[in-house]
Amino acid sequence: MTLREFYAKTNADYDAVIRRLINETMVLKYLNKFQNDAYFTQLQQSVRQKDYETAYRCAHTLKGLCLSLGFETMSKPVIELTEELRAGITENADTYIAVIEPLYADIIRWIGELSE
Amino acid sequence: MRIAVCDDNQLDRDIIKDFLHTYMTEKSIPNTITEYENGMNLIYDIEEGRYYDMVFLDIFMDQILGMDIARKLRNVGYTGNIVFLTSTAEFAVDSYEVEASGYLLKPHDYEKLCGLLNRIIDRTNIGHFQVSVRNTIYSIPFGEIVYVESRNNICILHRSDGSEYTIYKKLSEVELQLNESRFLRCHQSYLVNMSYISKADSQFELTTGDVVLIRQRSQKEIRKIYQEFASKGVKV
Repeated sequence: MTLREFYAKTNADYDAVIRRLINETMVLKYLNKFQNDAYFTQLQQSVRQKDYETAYRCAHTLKGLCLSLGFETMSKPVIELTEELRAGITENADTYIAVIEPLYADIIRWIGELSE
Repeated sequence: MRIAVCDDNQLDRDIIKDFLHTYMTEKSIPNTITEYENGMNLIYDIEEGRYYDMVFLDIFMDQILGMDIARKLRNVGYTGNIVFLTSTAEFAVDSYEVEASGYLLKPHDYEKLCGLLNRIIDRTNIGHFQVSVRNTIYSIPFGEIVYVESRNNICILHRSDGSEYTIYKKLSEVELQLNESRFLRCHQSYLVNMSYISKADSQFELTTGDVVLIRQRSQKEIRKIYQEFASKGVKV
């Protein structure tokens, strides 16, 4: 998969992402790093353990990365979850995790399919 | 330029470091970038006398808010630039209190960072040339230096507002101090800021109306250096 095809799948504007992050080489480097880190797993675990303070921090970090790396579709529920946790609303957190989980899995799979 | 990047997320640090490295390379600004995962370590280093021209601070970190770190930095006497990084603008008002130089909202955007750095560098002592006239020291931003010419044993610096300053140094010494890619030693007696060149043929015509000579035997090479510079679209 090319990077342009990847960003068509994440629903982002490829040219805008490249312009923001300088060039394809940089973007590929960041995507590989994102793939190797446990941003979503940490969020998932903290929600499961009802540690909402940690969950808020994790959601906030994931939100920033979704925006920066151009994961448009996934960013929407992550932003909503972040805003709810910020406001102390925790009852929908499990539902959000269930929505985000397959979107995150898609991103990780697509990153793995990117051609060198 | 000495820069600290303080963010508890490695990937965010990597992106900012890459942006800064690219910017500094494009501008030929020597730099060192130090990473901090933890704001307290940054405060300890500043307290122990380490100096940074610029500190990039994530607003929302694990143990302590970036805004609190900024307050502590000011309390321990840090006078350099502070730039906040965040994905929400909720602390924008507080940033005035700590005299922040800027605020970068996520998503990360290289062009936005360039714009902010240009503004900071333009109004601070980074990239300034000091000239002493009688008992007064003038600090001239590199961007306002049009050209420097050598006359006998002194140099005359021509500024964009039309003023002239006498420098009691050799042109080769001034050239060493103006160590940015925009300055070109195009002649034994001239060092020109290429941002001000409006026409290049057997000599350089400048936007100020002045004319700067080009070394006769290296005309081709000098014009080529200028063409490469002009094609990058580097601003003054």
